[in-house]
Amino acid sequence: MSPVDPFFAKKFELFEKVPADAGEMGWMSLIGAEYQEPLSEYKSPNVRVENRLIPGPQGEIPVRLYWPADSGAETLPGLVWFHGGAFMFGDLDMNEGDITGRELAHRSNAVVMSVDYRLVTPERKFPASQIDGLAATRWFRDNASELGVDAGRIVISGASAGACLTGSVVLQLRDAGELAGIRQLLIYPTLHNDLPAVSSELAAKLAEIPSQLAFSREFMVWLNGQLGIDLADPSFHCFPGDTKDLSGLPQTLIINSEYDTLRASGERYFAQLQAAGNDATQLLAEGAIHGHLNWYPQDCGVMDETLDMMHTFITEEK
Amino acid sequence: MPLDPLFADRLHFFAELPFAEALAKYEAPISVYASPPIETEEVVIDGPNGAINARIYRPDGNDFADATMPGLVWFHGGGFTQGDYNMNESDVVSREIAHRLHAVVMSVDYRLVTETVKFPVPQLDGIASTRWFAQNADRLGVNPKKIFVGGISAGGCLAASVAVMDRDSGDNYLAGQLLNCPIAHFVAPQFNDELLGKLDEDPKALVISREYLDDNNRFLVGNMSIEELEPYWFPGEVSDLSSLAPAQIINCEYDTLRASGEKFAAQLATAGNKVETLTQTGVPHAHINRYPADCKQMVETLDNMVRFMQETEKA
Repeated sequence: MSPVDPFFAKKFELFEKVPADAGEMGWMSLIGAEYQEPLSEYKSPNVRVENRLIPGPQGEIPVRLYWPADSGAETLPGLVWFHGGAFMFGDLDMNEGDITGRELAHRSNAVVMSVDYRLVTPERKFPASQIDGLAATRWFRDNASELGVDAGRIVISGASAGACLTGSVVLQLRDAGELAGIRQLLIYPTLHNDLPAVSSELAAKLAEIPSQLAFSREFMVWLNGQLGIDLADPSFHCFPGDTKDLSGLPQTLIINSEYDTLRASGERYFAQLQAAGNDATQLLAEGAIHGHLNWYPQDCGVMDETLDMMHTFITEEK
Repeated sequence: MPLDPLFADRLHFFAELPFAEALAKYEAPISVYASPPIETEEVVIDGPNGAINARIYRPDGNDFADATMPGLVWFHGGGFTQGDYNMNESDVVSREIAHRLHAVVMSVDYRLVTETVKFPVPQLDGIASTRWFAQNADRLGVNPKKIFVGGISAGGCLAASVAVMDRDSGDNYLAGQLLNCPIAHFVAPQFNDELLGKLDEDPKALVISREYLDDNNRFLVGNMSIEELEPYWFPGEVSDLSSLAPAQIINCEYDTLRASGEKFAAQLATAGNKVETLTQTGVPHAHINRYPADCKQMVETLDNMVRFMQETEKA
């Protein structure tokens, strides 16, 4: 348990300019650019990057592959990575997508595939994202040797909505009997259609950050209401935390942000995984807010720490 | 849809039907309850006001050779004037906890308040039954370091009073207290804007007003004074709340009694006690008076109670 990371404490000062009625989205047009602005120039570690289109059942899926520059002939651990953005926003270029890909390819000496899964739009709802997520994961596993990946050491991972997608891909793989060599890593995840119980400890933390960043349960209900969950077949497990049977899942690490409404969902899923007899661990990104992978690790101390926690899990020998 | 549709979609009954009929439809189950494998035993306990009926629940097929299971003494709600140990919040909760925690649960049919029976009769039944449970821990297969008391609504009030009496008597049997949407105060705390905002949206039918609480509480205490009742008093009015068993308080988001539960949690923490407070989202008062298969938040609450009892043990 820590105070807010100084990087964010400084950013929060920007919210003093935002009128109280600007709402959970309205602040972005006012201070969004300044809020997102880095403190320094990003220097990418030495990685090789390649954009590809891979086959999917409903059309090609754009992905970006990252290899450590100095990898030798041996096969490497693999990471399938899904960015966040409430299933309606985000892409391969956002920091949470691209910087995470670069950093983990380098830190973990791993092959990373960041997936540009289809987002939800007014015309296209669930389970388009889940179909792409599963197809991309299977492609990565099936082409492991061409990619230089050890098929026995694949971590599926994502942040926020990307962690939700991770959970549904892993459940789909479980149902299909395809979990060999797979582990899952959930970063500040949202996993339930409706927010689980909130502790007074969490509520007190949320009172310390700008209200626009402390998503209310009503806001989450509204966001999730855009996704078309009612029409999606339950076999896609679109909100993994709402799946009744969570048995038989692979080794899981959940990293929650301390100052994050969605920690209620991450902590609940951890308890559900444990109750269902799985090997699950939970870590806290202390002083962090939701979405803290969206800056640069040299600017934001807790982003650097989260990347290191991810690295430890990816390279762990089981 | 801030209030779960399980509740929100049934609120219209209150506008259309007499209260009792509306309540029956509002609480009507969706599924048929399938009990986990539990064996029950009716027991009769000697109390200062005569026999107390209680029901013991334990996992089926246990030989009770070792006193290794956690134990929970549980009290239903109903404003101290209604309810019994057959209602879902008593019987179903006891079955589910006994199964999920692998524990011994005793649900107590404590005496209710009537025109002639007043406080502290329910509290005296509560402490007598808790003592009996603790003194018979060995035969019941209960680990004496893991004896808990808990209850919902008025039963939460009763459980918290039992915890105070457990301290004052020097019994110190309790490892912890579990209070579900408790009423803890004789004078209901003011409802803040956040809470009023939640209740303003639609579920007016569910609002338990401060006036109602005031009337009911006066009925419960009759002519007794605060001095006469302490410590068998509303626990939030007890002057010394130090050195009590660790508490878990689970309040309901759409529930005016949350004001009392939140205030009591703050009082316990200020007095130096260990307190875990949760707000169960999306639900009105007494959401565990259902079936787990019908209400996902009831499952969540049961899981949270089980976790608290797993993590908590008397030093």
